[in-house]
Amino acid sequence: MYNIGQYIPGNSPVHRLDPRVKIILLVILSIFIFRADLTVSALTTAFYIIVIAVSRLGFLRVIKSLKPAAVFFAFLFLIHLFFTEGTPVFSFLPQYVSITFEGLHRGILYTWRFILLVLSASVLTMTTRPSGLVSGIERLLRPLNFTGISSHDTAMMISLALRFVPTLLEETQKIKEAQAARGANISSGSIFYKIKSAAALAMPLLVNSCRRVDELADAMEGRGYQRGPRTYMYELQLTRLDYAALLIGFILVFAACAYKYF
Amino acid sequence: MIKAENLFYLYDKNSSPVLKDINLDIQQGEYTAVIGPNGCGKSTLVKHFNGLLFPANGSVQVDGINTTDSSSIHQVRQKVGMIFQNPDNQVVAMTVEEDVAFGPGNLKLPPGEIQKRIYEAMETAGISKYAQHPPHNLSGGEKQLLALAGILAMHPSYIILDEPTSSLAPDERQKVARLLQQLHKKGITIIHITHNMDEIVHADRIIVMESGKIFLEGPPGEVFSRVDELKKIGIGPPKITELMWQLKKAGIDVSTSILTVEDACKEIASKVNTHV
Ligand SMILES: Nc1ncnc2c1ncn2[C@@H]1O[C@H](COP(=O)(O)OP(=O)(O)O)[C@@H](O)[C@H]1O
Ligand SMILES: [Mg+2]
Repeated sequence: MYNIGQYIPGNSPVHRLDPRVKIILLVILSIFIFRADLTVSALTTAFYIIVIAVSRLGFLRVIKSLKPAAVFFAFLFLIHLFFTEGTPVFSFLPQYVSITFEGLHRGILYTWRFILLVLSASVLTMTTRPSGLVSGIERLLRPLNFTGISSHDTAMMISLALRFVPTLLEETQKIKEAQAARGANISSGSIFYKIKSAAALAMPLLVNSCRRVDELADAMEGRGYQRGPRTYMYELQLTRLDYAALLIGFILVFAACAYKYF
Repeated sequence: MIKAENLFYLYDKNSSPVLKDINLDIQQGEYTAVIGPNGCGKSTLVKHFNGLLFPANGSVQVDGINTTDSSSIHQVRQKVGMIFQNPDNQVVAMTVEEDVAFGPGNLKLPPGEIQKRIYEAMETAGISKYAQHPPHNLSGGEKQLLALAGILAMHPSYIILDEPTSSLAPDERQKVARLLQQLHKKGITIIHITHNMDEIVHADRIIVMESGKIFLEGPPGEVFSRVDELKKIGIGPPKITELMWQLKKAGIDVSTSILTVEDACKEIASKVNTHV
């Protein structure tokens, strides 16, 4: 079972890149993608094909990781396809529903951009261990510490949230099964019934979570947790690889500025 | 030494106290078991030992440090580790090794030292092979071993366990119980709350609590032989001790401070032989 962009252990250069560098590159690339035309989209896609090959993630696995967002991709495409004014290429009910050339172009471009954005996030999380991601975010947020936003607390929060995702999923499943055993059936019946069943599911989940939070707070405090600075088992350290990757990233940005791409 | 003096505690100002005038010394190196009916205040008591709760009246000291001394609280938390009943709600990280690293990170140890300690701790707890695994894939018993590793990496002098095995399968209970005895041999002081009397027959001392007070206290043989008093508050001694007690009631003059099947056999054999 793979969740969206679950970490795939490995030792490729992409894996070894410092999480901070990967996050910065992701931000730069996202800006490019937001403004991409078909050529830039194609170039970015080529870039990701290389990245996925180098990091040995397996194309199939990466594509599978995009599946949960497939509905949105399709929705985005169809919206643009049918609701863009322009020269009709094809029409079912003339004057009512028609596909325009502009619609086709837009649909492809916008969907492609969106796929590339999700793909970027997916590749990042598949090649970076979650804790690395969290310490990366922590280090990048450190300059903001003076504003009162504690980078360590934010990192702790993100990491706890991520850690409890599987636990909550498991618990939801258990409650569903328990309710099904008592005759409830969430997947059928009227809308009203479905909403009622969902509420019946949410209540025990909420109550359990409150108890969980109490116990977790005790366990954390008992292990000496205090808000504010702490140390981590892995110290982030920039290597030559990181500097090279950053350099390439910044050259791209400068080039884009010089050619007034942004 | 952990020392409680005239300890009172109440969760609500208007309610009656949950702990009533507890006086207690726990010596370095001791294996102390705490038993008592549900709601008698066992958890409340031990939460005072590492500064999760503070006395409403009286005091608690750990190696001479008063737990209410906020400038030394991190020292108390380092010295006294605590394991809870629910293995799921003690995990804070997304991999086993990083969960073990949480405590040392709170102590602000340098990364090299953290790594050294967590590998030692995982080795002792027997979970090294799971170092990179997400904790939610572990079994309940393995999660408790993980919690123990997380405490061991802080190099504690005392480990408190609040019903650590009550949600585990029998074979997993044994694994945890065995590790506790092993740690005790290494010189770590163990304070073990449990409802499973067989786990604690080897303890140095048993403290029986009842409605916020210490009801009985002493070595297992002595405490468990007082079957009448224990039954009054709803506690059954180990089956074998109760057997001896029933024999004695039936008129066979055997010792009632027997805790193991072996000792029981010897004791009964000696009586039978003298009768013949
Ligand atoms: N957080 C709390 N708030 C209010 N009352 C509590 C709380 N925790 C425990 N109590 C009450 O304190 C008493 C002792 O509880 P506890 O120490 O958990 O007992 P034990 O661990 O022996 O089962 C019980 O009556 C319980 O209802
Ligand atoms: Mg309790």
